[in-house]
This record gives sequence, C-alpha cells and structure tokens, in this order.
Amino acid sequence: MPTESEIKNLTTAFPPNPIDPVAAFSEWGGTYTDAERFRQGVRGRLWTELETAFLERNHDALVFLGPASIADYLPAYMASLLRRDPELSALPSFLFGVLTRRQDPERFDTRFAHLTMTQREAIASALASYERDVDGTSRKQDVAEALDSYWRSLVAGKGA
Amino acid sequence: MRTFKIKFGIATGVLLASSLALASIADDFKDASNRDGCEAIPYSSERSACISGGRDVDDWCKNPSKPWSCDDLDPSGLNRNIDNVNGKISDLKKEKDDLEYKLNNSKDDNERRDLESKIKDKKEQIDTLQAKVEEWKKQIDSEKSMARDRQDIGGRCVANRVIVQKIFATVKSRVQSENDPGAKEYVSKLVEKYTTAEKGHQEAIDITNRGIDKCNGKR
Repeated sequence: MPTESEIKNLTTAFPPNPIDPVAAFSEWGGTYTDAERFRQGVRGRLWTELETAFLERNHDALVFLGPASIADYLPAYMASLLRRDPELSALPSFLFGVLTRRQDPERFDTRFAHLTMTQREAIASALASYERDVDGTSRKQDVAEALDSYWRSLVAGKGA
Repeated sequence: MRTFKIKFGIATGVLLASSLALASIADDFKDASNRDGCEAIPYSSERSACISGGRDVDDWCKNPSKPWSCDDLDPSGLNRNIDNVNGKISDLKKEKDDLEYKLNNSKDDNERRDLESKIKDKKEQIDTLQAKVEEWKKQIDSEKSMARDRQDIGGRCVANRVIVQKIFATVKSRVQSENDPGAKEYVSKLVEKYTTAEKGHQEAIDITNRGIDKCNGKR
C-alpha cells in the first residue's frame, strides 16, 4: 500500500515523541484563538496518535505554527491527508495552503527552515503519492500546485 | 476637625482607587503579555468580543455539520459521466434497433428466439444505464445546491475571521497609545505578539476565500 509506505517514511523522518506544546504558538500564533484547546489536545501525545477529527477541527492551527514547532505536527496532518479519512474537509485546503510557496515565499521559507532534507523529502514523496492517488479529482490541482511550487524538485532528486 | 477628617478620607479613597486602577491596567498588560489567544488582550470588553468572535469562527469555520469546502463535490465530473453513459445508451439503442429489424425479417424460430433474448438483454442494459443517468442528474442538482450552501457558510466563516482579525488590530492600536507607566513596559511584547500573528489570520482568510471560489465553479 503506497499510503502505508509513505506514512512509514514520515515516521522515520519525523520520529514520534511526546509533544510538549507550551511554545507551539509563541512565534507566530500569539493571537490564535484556539491555542489553548489545541495545546490541551496534543499535550504528551505522539503525532501518530493525533486523530483526524482533532486535526480537522484544528486545521487553522497550521497557519499559526511557527518554524520551531511546525515539524511536531506537520507529519500528523500529512498522514491524515494520505489516509483520506472521511472526517477531512477544510484540512487539505489549509495543508496545501501552507505547503504552497506562492504570494509570500519568505514566509514559506522561514516556516520550513528547520526541516531537515530527509523531512523535506518525506513530505515531497507523500505529496507525490497523494497526487497519484487523487488523479482526476478536484484535489489534484491543489497538490500539483504545492508540488510545483517547491517540493517536486525533491521528489525528482530521489529519482521518483 | 470633623470636616478635615471627612476630606482626608475622601482624598485617601480617591488616591487608593486611582492607584488600584493603575495597578489593574499594569497587571492586565502583564497578564496579557504572558498569554495567547483572546487572553492576550488586556481590555475586558475587547477580550469578551474576541471570545465571542472565536465562538462564531468555531461555529462557521470548524463545525462538522457546516462544511465550507467544496472539494468533495464534483458536478462537472458527474456531467462527464452522464455524457459518456448517454453515448453508450445511444449505441445500445442502435444495436437494439438492428436486432429488432432482424427479428421482423426472420422466419426461423430458433433465430427469432435468439434475437428476442438479445433484444431483452439490450433493453435491460439500457434501463440500467438510464436509471444511473437519472440518479446522477439528481446528484448534480444536490451537489450544486450543496455548493451554494457551502459558499454561504464559507462567506460567514470569513466574515467572522475578519471580525476577530479587526479586534486584534483595534487592540494593537489601543495598546500602542497606552499612557499608563506601569503598562508601558509590556507594550512592545504585546505589539510583537499581535504583529507576528497578523499573517496567520490573513492566511486563514485567504485559504478560505480560495475554497469559496472553488464552490463558485460548482454551483
């Protein structure tokens, strides 16, 4: 199953550790109105334990997570996307929103500045897998835009 | 002597009340500077408005019973399916007509039975596909209606996000013009907190607006 293999890749690139969310929004999310509820929901859990319903409800946390904290949560959002869980609604739009390098490339670069090359390649590979999976649906354009804006070169670099 | 005592008492009370008020502003600023979300607002009225606005954002942007994303709707894909199937129906009808022509001209009983069986089979295939087309047509109407509803929900979601965004913009401006000496030491921390999160609010609005645009193409 490509999805399982991509999630395994994410788990290798982003080793799951108990989450300490104290500083999750201290960089970019000082006025995120759901900050406290988000912290309560993730505290002490592994990213692999975060349910899609929780992530879907907190889809907007993605835009408030800063460079030092995004890696703690990004793989959980990616895995939910890959599984195409039925709870998904706004999450994919927000995930592609932050993963697409468009109007504000500086913000994109800063947001992902702390990701290692292995982590970037895992994200790129997951996006490419998802693109194949949703071929012919209205999600295809979003994922293609995200890949073309930055990530596709990393997939190509791996010879995929 | 009694008048002096009364005046002294009033003056002391006023001074005490003033210093308590000043201390309260400074405390509110200190408290807000160490918090996030609506709790990062040092003014109670704006903080209440923020909490109320946050609830409306929850209700219109994050409520599973009020989705605003139209990504799972695909009326144009259903239209393509209908076009394809209508083409197949047309082919099947032509084949059935040919078989009926042969049947009308056949004198051989075995051949007639075979043709009748094939005609029946074609009719069944046509009926099944026509039922599928009718089902898809209903689904298209339903999806177009859902796209209109979701566009409306998305609009309400954005409107509520803008309200919260504006509250923080107002608070930022008010904090910057604060004159209380005890509060001033927390102003820069608060302003930085509001400023760094401004892009997040705008990003959330932009992403939702792009989602609404998608609904527009599906209604």
